[in-house]
Amino acid sequence: MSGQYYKSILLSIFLILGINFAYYSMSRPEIKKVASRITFETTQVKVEGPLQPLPTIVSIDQNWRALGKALFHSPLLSQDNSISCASCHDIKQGGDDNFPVSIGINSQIGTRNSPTVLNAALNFRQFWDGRESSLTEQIHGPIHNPIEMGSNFSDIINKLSSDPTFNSAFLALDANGITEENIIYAIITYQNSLITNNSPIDRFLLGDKNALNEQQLRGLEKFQRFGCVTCHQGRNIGGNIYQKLGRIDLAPKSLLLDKGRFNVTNEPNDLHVYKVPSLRNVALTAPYFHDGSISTLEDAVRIMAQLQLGMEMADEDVNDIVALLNSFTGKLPEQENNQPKTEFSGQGVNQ
Amino acid sequence: MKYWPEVVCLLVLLFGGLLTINSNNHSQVLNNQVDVKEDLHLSIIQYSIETVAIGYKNENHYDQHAQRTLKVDQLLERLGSADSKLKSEVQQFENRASNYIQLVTMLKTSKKLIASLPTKVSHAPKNIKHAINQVIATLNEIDVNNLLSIRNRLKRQIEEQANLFQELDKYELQWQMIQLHIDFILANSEFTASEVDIIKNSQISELIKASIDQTAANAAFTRYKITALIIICLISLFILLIILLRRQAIKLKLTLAEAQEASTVKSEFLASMSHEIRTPMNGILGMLNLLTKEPLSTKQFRYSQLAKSSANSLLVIINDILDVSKIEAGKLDIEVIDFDLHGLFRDFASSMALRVHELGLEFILDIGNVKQKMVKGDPGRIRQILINLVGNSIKFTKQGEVVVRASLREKAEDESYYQLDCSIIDTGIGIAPDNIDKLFDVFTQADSSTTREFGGTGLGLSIVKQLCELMGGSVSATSQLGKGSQFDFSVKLESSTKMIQSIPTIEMTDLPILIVDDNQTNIEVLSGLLELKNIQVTACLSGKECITLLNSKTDELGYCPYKIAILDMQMPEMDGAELAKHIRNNSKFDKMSLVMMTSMGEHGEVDSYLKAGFAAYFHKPTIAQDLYDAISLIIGDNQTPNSRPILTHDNISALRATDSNREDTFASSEKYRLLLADDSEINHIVALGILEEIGFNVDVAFDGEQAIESLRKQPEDNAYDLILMDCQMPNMDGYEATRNIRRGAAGENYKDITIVAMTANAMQGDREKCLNAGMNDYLTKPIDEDPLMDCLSQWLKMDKRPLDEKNPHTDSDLQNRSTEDENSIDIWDYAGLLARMKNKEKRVSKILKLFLMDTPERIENIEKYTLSQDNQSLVTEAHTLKGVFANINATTLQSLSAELEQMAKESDNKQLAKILPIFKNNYEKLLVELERVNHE
Repeated sequence: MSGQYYKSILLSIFLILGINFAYYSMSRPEIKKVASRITFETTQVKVEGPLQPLPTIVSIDQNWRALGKALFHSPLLSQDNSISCASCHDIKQGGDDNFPVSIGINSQIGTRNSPTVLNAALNFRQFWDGRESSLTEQIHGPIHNPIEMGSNFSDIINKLSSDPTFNSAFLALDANGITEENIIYAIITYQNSLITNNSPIDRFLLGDKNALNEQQLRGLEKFQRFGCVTCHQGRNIGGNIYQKLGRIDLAPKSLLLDKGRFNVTNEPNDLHVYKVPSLRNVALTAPYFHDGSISTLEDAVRIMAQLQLGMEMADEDVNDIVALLNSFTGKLPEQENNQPKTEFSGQGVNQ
Repeated sequence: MKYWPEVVCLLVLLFGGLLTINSNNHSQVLNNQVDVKEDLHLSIIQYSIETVAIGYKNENHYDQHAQRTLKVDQLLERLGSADSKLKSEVQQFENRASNYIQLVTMLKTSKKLIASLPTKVSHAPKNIKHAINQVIATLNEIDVNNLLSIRNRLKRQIEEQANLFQELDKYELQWQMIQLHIDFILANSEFTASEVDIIKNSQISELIKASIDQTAANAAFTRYKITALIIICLISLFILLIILLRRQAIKLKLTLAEAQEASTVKSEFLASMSHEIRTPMNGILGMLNLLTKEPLSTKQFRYSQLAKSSANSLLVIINDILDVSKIEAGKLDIEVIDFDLHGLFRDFASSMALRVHELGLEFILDIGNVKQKMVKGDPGRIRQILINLVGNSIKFTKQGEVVVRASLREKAEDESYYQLDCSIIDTGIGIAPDNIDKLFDVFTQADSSTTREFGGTGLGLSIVKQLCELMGGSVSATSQLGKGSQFDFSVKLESSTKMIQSIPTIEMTDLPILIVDDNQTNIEVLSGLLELKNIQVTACLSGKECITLLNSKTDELGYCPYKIAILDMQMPEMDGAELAKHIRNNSKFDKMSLVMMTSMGEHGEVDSYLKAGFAAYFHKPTIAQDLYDAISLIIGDNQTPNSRPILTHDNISALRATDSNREDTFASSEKYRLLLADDSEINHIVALGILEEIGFNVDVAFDGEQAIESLRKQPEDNAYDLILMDCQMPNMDGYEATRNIRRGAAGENYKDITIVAMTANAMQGDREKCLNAGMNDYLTKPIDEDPLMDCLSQWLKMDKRPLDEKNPHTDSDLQNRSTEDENSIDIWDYAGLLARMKNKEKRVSKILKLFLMDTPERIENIEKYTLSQDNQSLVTEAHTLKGVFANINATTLQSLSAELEQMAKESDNKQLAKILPIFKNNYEKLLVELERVNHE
């Protein structure tokens, strides 16, 4: 009962305040923010008919986009610094890798054909089976998948932190520096920017009647009449509903090895159900189907007609439709034609 | 675990804080959930509408539905894992909707395909057209209820015309494809119709709504929880604060208890120390007192007086130290008793006079402004203040005078209070102004060099200060270095209603008195005192002036106007003695009595003054009462100055003492048996010296056990009347012994015996301790005669009437006495008188001289009145004689006088005539005895 006593009481109170404060700062509830942070604006022109033009980007945070692009191309995101996002999603190659299935770290082989990242932001769900609703969730897939990048965010943050360029680039944009949230935000901003406007079909839909040639116009007519537009419609020409592979006619056994969305939901109705893929830039994204087993567009069109419409399509019709599909190829945003900035190459850590 | 309440409070604070934060987080999450769910509620409704619309409207792309899906999914994502049940419900709903869309979109395509058939077969034969139209018509009839019949009809139609349909391939129509689509329509129509109903009637939005309400309720509850937790935290903090204060209070209490304990220990120590010191002091003082009562040579007497005064000084120092301790302990009590303020100053002055005059200083007491004699207060403490201050002044004054000037005035605010202001002015070394402030601090003297030169404890002034403050006054000092100091003190006194008993028998108004003194202050003081009695005072500053004045006045008036002249002894040119010679040599001034005032404290000079013709002789400072009494005596009897013994302080006091002859109280003291219990032999001798002198029958015991033993052994017819009990004794102390006696250890008879404690413990609380032990009264050592006597007279309830009045003599007694009473002791008990006068032979001789001067006339008067049968006068005269004889221990004559008085009262003249010769005979015998003793 002396100065010692009062000192220890005071000390205890401060200690308690300290513990409380520490607990407060550590236990702040994680309210997902990335989605609410995304601020890019687009304008959507609506036209008559099932096919819609792509939206145009009005504004996007260019700094975050640039950082996201660097991250997208950085192999630091993989466990052994061997592959980047761009390894399987080559922007110049139509947003995919042109392999039937993708190759991950240590040359491991995946089970599905890698979909394009171009216009992926417009898909209503991500992955072939639509198991993630948005890119924000999708990004965890390849990063954590042991046969893809096989990494995790704490490793990635460590690696990025030891790179002075990334360090300063993050800090320049956000006081928190390199965080999981900021990494995701950057990459998604980049992905959001990958809209391939200005394809012939878009120009045609927006009023340029000369944008399509005769054959393509015939193909457009047949595309609608045969019922392809049942599923492949909207601005992304697909990518907005699910559909069962072999809805009308039985699919060949090789295509039925993968149970599709059933793997996600375990619903009998979802057996062999897939997200209808977008047909944008479809000419650039061979091979086709979920397993990349079909290498030409013609074969893909024939199989689709048979399985989904019960139709044996004539060669002439196939050619007309393929001609139309070619008109779905758009152009990357202007910046994408430039070389990626060297400072974000992540060469310092590359093996 | 002494501090568990704090630990509990701190833990509550800690976990309260953590829980508050946790709840706050939870509340945020819940609020977020409410927001998300509300969004979800809206989105799911829009989603449902959009889903249903896909089946009905002519909607050909589903971007909007896709966006709704995305929105719902994002909201589900934002909901996190919080509400998995709701989430799975929504996901199930989505799956159902998704499945429905897959089918409904395909159905639309299939129906469109079938519907487009007639246009394709426009070139075909009529029967084919008809068949197809039939099929289409049948398909159009499809309803949820008639599915089975439609299917059968279609089957029949297709089978009937199978060959027709096979031909369709010719018209670019694939019959197989059409069949697949018809099958698809048949297979899924019913299911889709029921699905859309399910979707339309889905409870999902109500489910979400309920969930919102649930979450909102939870959020509200959490908010209450947060409030409650914050209150709990605040309460625990408050309690912590209270605990801190409580602990502080407990600590203070403990400290206080320790301090009190320490103080008690200190008091005990002081008590035991004072006991240890007082016991030997008691011995020293008591023995010295006894010693001075023995016949001593002048030198021996003087030495013993010096030893006594040294012992008294030592006692004063011890008392000072005790006082300081008591003051510091706050245990000094101030008494409030009636006392004579004049008497106080008088006693004080007489006690100081000798010392002051020995130092060759003038000591002047001026209490002219003290009009009220009787007041209430603590005379002992006022005396102590005076002793300290005057003692201090005397110590630092080498020549000059010390003046004590007092005045008493009524307090303005309350008439029942007086303020006594007193100044002590000296002409000593003075005090430097810097040091005045420090004067009244304990153990402080003006400066250390004074300590070396003058000694002293430095306690006196601090005690004075404390005492003054305790008595509602103050003390201050002013001084001029080298010229002297003045100490002023004031105390508050209460008024007294008691009257003082004195012997002013004479009207002194306008009595002319002459004062001769070279000191103006002295003249002022004296004239002040005299003027109080309205005496006409004339003052002269020298002998010559006096003679001149007397001569001129006498010549002028033809007689000497002054009844009394008060002469100062020490005067320049002509001293008092020389002046007296001059005056006495002139017969014109015979009628004027002379009073000598002297500062010289010499003994044995009384005779020389008597020869010089002085009627009275006083030491300065003169005490007013002495002076007044002397004046009364001088004026009141008509004898010539020469035929009267010289009046001094001593004999006036003695005369005064006859008024209150306490010794008479103990005339019958031999009746009483006392038991003295004390372990100290010296105390025995001292106490026995006093008690046996008075005539008590005293036994001694050395401890409590012995005392009880003595009580038990004593036969009942010779029982003890009182026990004087020392408190601290070996074996069994006084308290224990008292308790035992009260319990009956010494027999039933002694259970209520009076027990008076004698203790050297002078500390407060001892009295209570004694009384608590069952003692009746309490005396402090050293044993002093006066309080002891007071106490004994109170407790023994001794009859104050003279012995003879208790047992009136009969005639036969009288006869017996006339023949038998030859015993000289009965005629005159010289030894008894000497003892009563405390062995002061001088006093006795003075009394005898006065007796011889006075009595013969009274005896003659008795004879005269008896013969003339003037019984009235006889009663008066006999009564006076009775007192006179009692005074000199002439027992027989005393009782004879009493008988005379009684007979005169009864006018029994026969008896009177009988007794008168016996009376005269005894008187003759007494004169013979007196003569004999005088010769011895």
